[in-house]
Amino acid sequence: MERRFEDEWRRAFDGAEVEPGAGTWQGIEAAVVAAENGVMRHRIVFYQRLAAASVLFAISMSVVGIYQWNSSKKLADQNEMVLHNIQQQSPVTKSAGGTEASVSENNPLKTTSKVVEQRESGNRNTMQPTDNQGQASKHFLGSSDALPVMRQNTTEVAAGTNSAEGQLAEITGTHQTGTVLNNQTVVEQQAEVAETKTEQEPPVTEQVPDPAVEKAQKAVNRENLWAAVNFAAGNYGTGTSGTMSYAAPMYSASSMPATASSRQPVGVSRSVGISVGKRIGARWVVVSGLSYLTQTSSFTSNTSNQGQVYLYGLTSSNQSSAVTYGSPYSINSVLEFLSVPLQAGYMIIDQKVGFQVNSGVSADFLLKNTLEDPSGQKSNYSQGAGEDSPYRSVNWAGLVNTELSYRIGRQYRISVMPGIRYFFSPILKNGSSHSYTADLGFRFRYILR
Amino acid sequence: MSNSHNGYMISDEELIKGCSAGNRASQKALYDQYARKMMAICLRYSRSPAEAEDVLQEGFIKVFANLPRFRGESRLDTWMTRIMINAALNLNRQKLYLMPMVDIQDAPLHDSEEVNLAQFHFSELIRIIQSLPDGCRIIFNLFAVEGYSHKEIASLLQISEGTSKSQYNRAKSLLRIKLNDAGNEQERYGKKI
Repeated sequence: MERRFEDEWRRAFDGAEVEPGAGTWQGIEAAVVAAENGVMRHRIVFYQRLAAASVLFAISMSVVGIYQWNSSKKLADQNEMVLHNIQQQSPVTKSAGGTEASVSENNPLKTTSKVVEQRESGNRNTMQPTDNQGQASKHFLGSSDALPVMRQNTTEVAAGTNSAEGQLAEITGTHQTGTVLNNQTVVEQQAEVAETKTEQEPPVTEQVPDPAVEKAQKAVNRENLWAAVNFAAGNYGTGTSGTMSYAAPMYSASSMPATASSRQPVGVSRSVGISVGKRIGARWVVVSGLSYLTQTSSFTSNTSNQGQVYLYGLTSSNQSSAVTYGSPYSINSVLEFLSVPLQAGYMIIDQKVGFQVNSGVSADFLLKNTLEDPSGQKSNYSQGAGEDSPYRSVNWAGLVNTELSYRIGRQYRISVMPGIRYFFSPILKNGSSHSYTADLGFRFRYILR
Repeated sequence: MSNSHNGYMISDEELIKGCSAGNRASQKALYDQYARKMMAICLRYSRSPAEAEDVLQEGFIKVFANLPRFRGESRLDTWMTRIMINAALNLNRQKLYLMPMVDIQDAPLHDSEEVNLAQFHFSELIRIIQSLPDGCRIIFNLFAVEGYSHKEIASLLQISEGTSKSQYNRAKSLLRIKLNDAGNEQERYGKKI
């Protein structure tokens, strides 16, 4: 079938061109910028959520950590009290008996069973009809050696021991008078006390490790000092949404005035540096170091002057009538800082896997600001810190990050650190918005032992 | 293809590379190069110049968003034309749902009749096409100008082939009437409209 009708129409429209309205490109550009900002905002939202999740996790871990710390502290206090009581009783034991006292001093809890055995044997001996009062007295003295040990463990036992002690004095008197019957009664009572003790007391010696030994061992294993290299990358926000009027140096090195341009409110932040950490408490560390920080953001400008292109405006009062508006073009601004952070960290988990929360401040010294034309049509322009620069030479920023780490061997530890840096003052001298970065960092530690 | 922009000769490859990197100057250069041609296409699919500009705007946003994925298998302008048509179809999607679903499998296609469009100015042809009902206009453009088959149109618009054919026949009938009217008017005033 012939398609003359269709061919005719195709020919009629072939190569047709119609000029679109003047405002069409502006609409397209605004939509593209909004879309780009939307993407960047999504990325920032991701980092913000990651940081929020980290903080939430840190808080949860803190609660658990504090609870466990309190529990272990209570247990340690109880153990310390027991040991203290033992030490208080040790001189009595020593004065009362020779060999037994020294055993009791070294490991008092262990002696309980020995004492009980001895008492039982003493009991058996005393049950034997013998006139050997010296031997009986020796058994009684053996029993009396055990008395302080029993006293230190339970009140009931202690009460029993006291009465037994009192009776011991009687026994001594009895011994002197030669009445064996009374001695036998006392020995029976002592045996009962010992049995009670044996039944009531679990093998405590195995459950309670020596805290001093543990403490010494922990001190040896502790990561008291470390050095590290750090890397971080993330988003850099100017603290505003949408485009804004922005003041910055001119692209040209000449002293000609410039006009306002727009700046995208987000960019990219990267840093690399070294750091040193020192433990200053059981769970506290202080971290400092040196970092090289770059913050890159993109600008759109549509201003030009007699063929020369300007990137940013100074103020509206400085605008020249010679400035003309042309096609919008992109410019990248790269800020370079030397950053000196100082942070305090609290270690919530201090094991092979570690988790800590760091917070502190950073002094960021501006090195230079470089303006780059992504199309490569213009050469780069750099300006250092100083009076001519629209940027502050020194900026203070607050730092908050969490650090999830893993120890490799005895000497190394790697960490992942999501965090936020918030500038306390605008980085622009005449700016009003506070910049911030949300980044994800990595740290490789070398532990100095 | 090379384009002149601000005194520089920029090839399509450079434009694609620059646009893919988000370079605003490259995007503007691409727009300057192809906007007029794309606007002519958008006008055919729209009811008014304002609607055509909306389509053009939407189309260029999609072009910039998808340029990093452009593999160069077709010419850049062909690829952009498809995007513009899709943008127009998306904008008219709601209207297409309202298209009468006349499924006439045996709808007779009239033999092509000779038609002389040379006597009409481009703007008059556009005006005539824009006066067609939405469904007819879109199917006429797809079939007669872009060269799609009814099967492809049916698949694209999620309608039956019969509907596409009947809508096209209706478009042709309407166009003949409108062209006759316009021709008569020309004869009456003795000049090209």
